[in-house]
Amino acid sequence: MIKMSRLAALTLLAAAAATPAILVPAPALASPEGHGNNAQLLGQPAARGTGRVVRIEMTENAYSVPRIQVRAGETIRFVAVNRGQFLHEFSFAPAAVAAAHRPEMARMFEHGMITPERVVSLTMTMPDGTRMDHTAPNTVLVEPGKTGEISWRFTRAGTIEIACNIPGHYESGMAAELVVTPR
Amino acid sequence: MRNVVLAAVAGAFLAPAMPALAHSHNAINSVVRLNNLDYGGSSQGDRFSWDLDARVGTYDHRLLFRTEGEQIRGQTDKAEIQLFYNRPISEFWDVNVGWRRDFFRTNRNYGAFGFSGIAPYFFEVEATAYVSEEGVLSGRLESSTDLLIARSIFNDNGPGLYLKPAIEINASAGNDRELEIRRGLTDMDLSLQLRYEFTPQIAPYVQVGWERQLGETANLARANGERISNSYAVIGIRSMF
Amino acid sequence: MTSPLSRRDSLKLAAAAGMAGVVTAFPGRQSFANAHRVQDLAVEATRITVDGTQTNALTIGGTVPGPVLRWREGEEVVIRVTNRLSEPTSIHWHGLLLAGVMDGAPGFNGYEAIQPGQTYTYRFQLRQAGTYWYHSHSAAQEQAGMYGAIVIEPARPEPVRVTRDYVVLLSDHSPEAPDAIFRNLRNREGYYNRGQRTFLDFMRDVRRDGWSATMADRKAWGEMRMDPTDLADVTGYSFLVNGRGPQDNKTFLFTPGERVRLRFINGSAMSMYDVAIPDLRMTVISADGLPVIPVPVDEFRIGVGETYDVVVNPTEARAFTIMSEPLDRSGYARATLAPREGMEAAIPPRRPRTVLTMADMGMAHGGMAMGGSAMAGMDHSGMAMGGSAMAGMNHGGMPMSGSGTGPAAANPHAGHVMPGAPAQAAADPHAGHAMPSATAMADPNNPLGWEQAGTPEGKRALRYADLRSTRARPNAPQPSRDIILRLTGQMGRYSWSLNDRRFGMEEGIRVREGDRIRIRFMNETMMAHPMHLHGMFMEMENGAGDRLPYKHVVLVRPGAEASVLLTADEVGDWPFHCHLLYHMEAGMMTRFIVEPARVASAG
Repeated sequence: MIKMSRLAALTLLAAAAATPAILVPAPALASPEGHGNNAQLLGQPAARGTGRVVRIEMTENAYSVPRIQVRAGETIRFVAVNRGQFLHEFSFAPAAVAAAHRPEMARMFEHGMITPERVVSLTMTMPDGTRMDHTAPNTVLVEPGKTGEISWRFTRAGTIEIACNIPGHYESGMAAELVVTPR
Repeated sequence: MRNVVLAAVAGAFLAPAMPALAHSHNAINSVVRLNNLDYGGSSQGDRFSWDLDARVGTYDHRLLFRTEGEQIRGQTDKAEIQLFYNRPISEFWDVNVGWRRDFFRTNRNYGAFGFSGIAPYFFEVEATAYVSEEGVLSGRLESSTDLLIARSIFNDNGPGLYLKPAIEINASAGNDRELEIRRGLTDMDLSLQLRYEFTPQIAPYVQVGWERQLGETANLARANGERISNSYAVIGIRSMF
Repeated sequence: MTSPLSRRDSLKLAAAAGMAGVVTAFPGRQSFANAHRVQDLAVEATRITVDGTQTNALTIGGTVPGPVLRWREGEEVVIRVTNRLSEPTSIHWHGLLLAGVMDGAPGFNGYEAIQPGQTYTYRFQLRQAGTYWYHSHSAAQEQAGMYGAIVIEPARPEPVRVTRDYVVLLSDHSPEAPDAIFRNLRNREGYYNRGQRTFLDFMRDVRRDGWSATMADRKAWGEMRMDPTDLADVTGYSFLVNGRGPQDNKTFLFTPGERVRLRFINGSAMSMYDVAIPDLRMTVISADGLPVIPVPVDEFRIGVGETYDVVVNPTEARAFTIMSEPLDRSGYARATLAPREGMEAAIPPRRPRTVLTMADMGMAHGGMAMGGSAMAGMDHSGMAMGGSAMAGMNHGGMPMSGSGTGPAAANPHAGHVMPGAPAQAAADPHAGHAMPSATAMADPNNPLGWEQAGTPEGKRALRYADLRSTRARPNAPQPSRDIILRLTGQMGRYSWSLNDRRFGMEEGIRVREGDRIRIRFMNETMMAHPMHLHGMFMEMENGAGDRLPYKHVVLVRPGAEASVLLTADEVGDWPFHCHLLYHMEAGMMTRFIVEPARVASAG
């Protein structure tokens, strides 16, 4: 289970430094737009526990809502409740970024960092020296029966994707739309 | 002697086969194989020969019928029928018990016992011992193999070109005046068949061979003014249905 | 020979069935006021057209395949089957949990074949959801077209959200009558095998591997009188998708971005396939009808009788070819996923046909992989004597042989190192490289070994070990006993058997209701056998811990061992057989008899 305090402690820049390849590939984080304001993620992390609560339930293999709509300028506190039997992820990113991330997630799965039901370790150094890390601020892995949270301040309008990138889950339909309307 | 042989044959056929036939998964199966039907020339004149067998039975019990013979210059040089009860005794070997009757020189009945099967390297082998109604023991060993030379270059699943070397050797433990057979090795036949198998049903071939009488039997033939060897080249067809 | 199911057994079974309140005798005369659905299906002979060619066929409901039966979990269904043939027939509901008399296998569970002109009424409650199928269980009628798909919608939401849901039913159709095929198989070994190695192949191998290695390889196979090219007993098939040939090109429509569920069913008589959709990754979501933890793969091998549900997510507006190549590569089944009718994608390069190795004979020689050179020094003298020696060798080679005959004792190759493959690899027909083979790796055009699917570099094929049930059973009891089922046969006679006994000559397997048992398949032949148990799911021991996948067919690869666990909770006498049709016909079947735990007294 991800410790939310740990997430909260991360700034996006720190996350960018620490996660060269995992949730959001480096090119996305190195986006020149804004100062720590990632254009692709339509905003930035907010302090833990802050914001308007949007609750999502996760089961096999679906989110309880097909679409979440928020306004630019809002801070949203996503509360993701896992009502299923298996580990699920709540994350949001542009569809292409998430797609690029899924093979990495499959590697984590194969190397035992995550199992079908739980998180073993969010970081791992591979035999070839590369480091796998799943501690980015726009994702949370939630074990069965537990709840995960992300607070995020949306600053830009746009449409991105909510996805569970655990192997096979997105493919089975565990995805939703995140629409940020202009303020 | 004749009656004893025939009774033994009939008993061997009928008794054990019955219970197995009752079961559907042991359904009776049958096939007729035309192994050779060919015509051509030989050093003794034009030559015609045939070899046909038929089988019917279950996995465990079968009846085999076989007839083979040859004519040289219109004269029957060999003609026989055999009827066997056949039963598997191991993965690759069967035992055969039965009867043979010759129709040349004189009509002669035999009791037969032998083995047939597949030897290592896919050599088909048939070894049979015969006791004639005159009480003479004889034996025959046949072996052949099919070498697949090539498949059609146009179609992986197409016709196959086979080369089939074959040998047959006969021997006798006694003399049979009427059949002009003397004790010892009596005759052999070596052949090489090149067959183009469109399907197992249609397989034309060319075949060359050399047949020769041996030992005392050959001496007897020579003394009678007969030629003891014959080489031949024939074309023919093999089939099964 | 005694009747495998004694009168005493029959009485007990009938009593148990009666206690359970299920329909027993003469179900055709029941009334069906409570049934949710009633369906009429006629079995009749007709002619069908595949790729423009007409052939004879036997149909259920007038088409090949028969109609997709779409049902819902929990409902009770009634199917009235009328036989319009001139021979007896039957319909078996493959993979369904039901009372034995409804299972539709003549001669088992008190079910009798449906006679010409008669109607039989099946009635059963659906206790499961998923993809299953139905087919004739009489003679070889299944081969002639008597098969169709069953889709049971779950009562609760499924772990998958798709916008389109298609059945992809693979089958092999022959212009020859099934009886003629069986006759040909019995009458000539390798009747249909056109892939045998030729003299030209020999010359090629000599150039590639050298004279001595090639001679040693040919010597090894020759001494065993085995043919390393025997991957499928029957050829001459057209391979169909939902009854359509490769030229007919069955098309499944999608809109880019949609999730599409493809329910693959292998309803073939004899053919197993490597299935791939080039450029489209598949996520396997269920196996043999029941959900598994999703596995993204690029291809999978499907045995006869197995089903896999996959989800694909095509995002481009283009066509994709669904390519299914039988193991002997004698053709292919093809369908297309496309945004609209009439579109086609390229047919991928045809994969080469593999050649079996000594590993497929149960002899896990590392050396065999190198073109057979290691065989040169081996003493095969023990094998020249036929069946018994052969069986001994196979035992010896079994990595997990527990029969008590130590490998060294039973093995004519004693003295050679036979590294036991890991149990899991042995149990896994899809294990990519359980027996690493240098040559096979180096030369993808000349693959060696049954497992070599010719998977393109960087692509991932499903392995049995990937299958993990979504239902965990952490406290499943240990089996109280192991039952050994040796898969045996004599290719030359086309005689196939279990524990060396053909059906009708065997004793059957007898367990008590509630027994927890392990069945160990020991494949002593050089063919893969998809072993199918009626009436119950087997929990395949594939290393998935407490998530063993439920299977109704377990594909046991050549020369290997596999094992399953099961709780015998369905009383009856159930067919247990190889699902290769002509192997079953030849006798590779037995009875799996589950005796009731308690029997009502006759008084």
